[in-house]
Amino acid sequence: MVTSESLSTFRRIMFAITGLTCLTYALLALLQMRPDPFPFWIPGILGLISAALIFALASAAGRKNAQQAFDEVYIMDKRRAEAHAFWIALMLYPIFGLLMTTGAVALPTAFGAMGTLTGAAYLLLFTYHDAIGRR
Amino acid sequence: MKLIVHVTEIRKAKGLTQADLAKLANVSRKTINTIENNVFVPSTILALTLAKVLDVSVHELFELLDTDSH
Repeated sequence: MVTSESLSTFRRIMFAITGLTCLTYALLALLQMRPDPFPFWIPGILGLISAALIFALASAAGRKNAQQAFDEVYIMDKRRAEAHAFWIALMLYPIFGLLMTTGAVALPTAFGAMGTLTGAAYLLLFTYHDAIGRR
Repeated sequence: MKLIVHVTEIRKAKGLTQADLAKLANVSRKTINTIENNVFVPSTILALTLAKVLDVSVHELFELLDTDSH
């Protein structure tokens, strides 16, 4: 039987896996100086698979368990992660602008790294905020 | 103003665990935990729900301490 706690744990694990995949993609892109260190569709497809699995598990858990897992504190964690990820995403522009101006990073590499870093920031920040406060 | 939370004492007096109260109030155990530790301030609806399931008034669960007056 799927409980609200197992649904929350599963959601956190899927967010962490997808976030770490995005972060790995960005770091490898910067280290290898290429926009596609591994197939470019992997982070996106993994995100879609994660969303589908979370939705399927929430459906299997039932309305009451799903409501418990997506309650007020979930919304607070989500908003906090969105707010922090927003500023991180904004900060990436001057950082990568500087890196491209100095010739340290080419535009295609910056494009691949910035996109996946933006996704990783939200996903990993949510994982962090969701994990704290649980004992 | 400082918020004093009495949820833990009242919950324990009723013989409930955090998980029991979470189930009764239809929220996650983390929500109860963060309310009890004064990390999260619940909405009016949730405060009223907690008061209802614990059979007390909201004022018994939450108290405002006036720290501004000297």
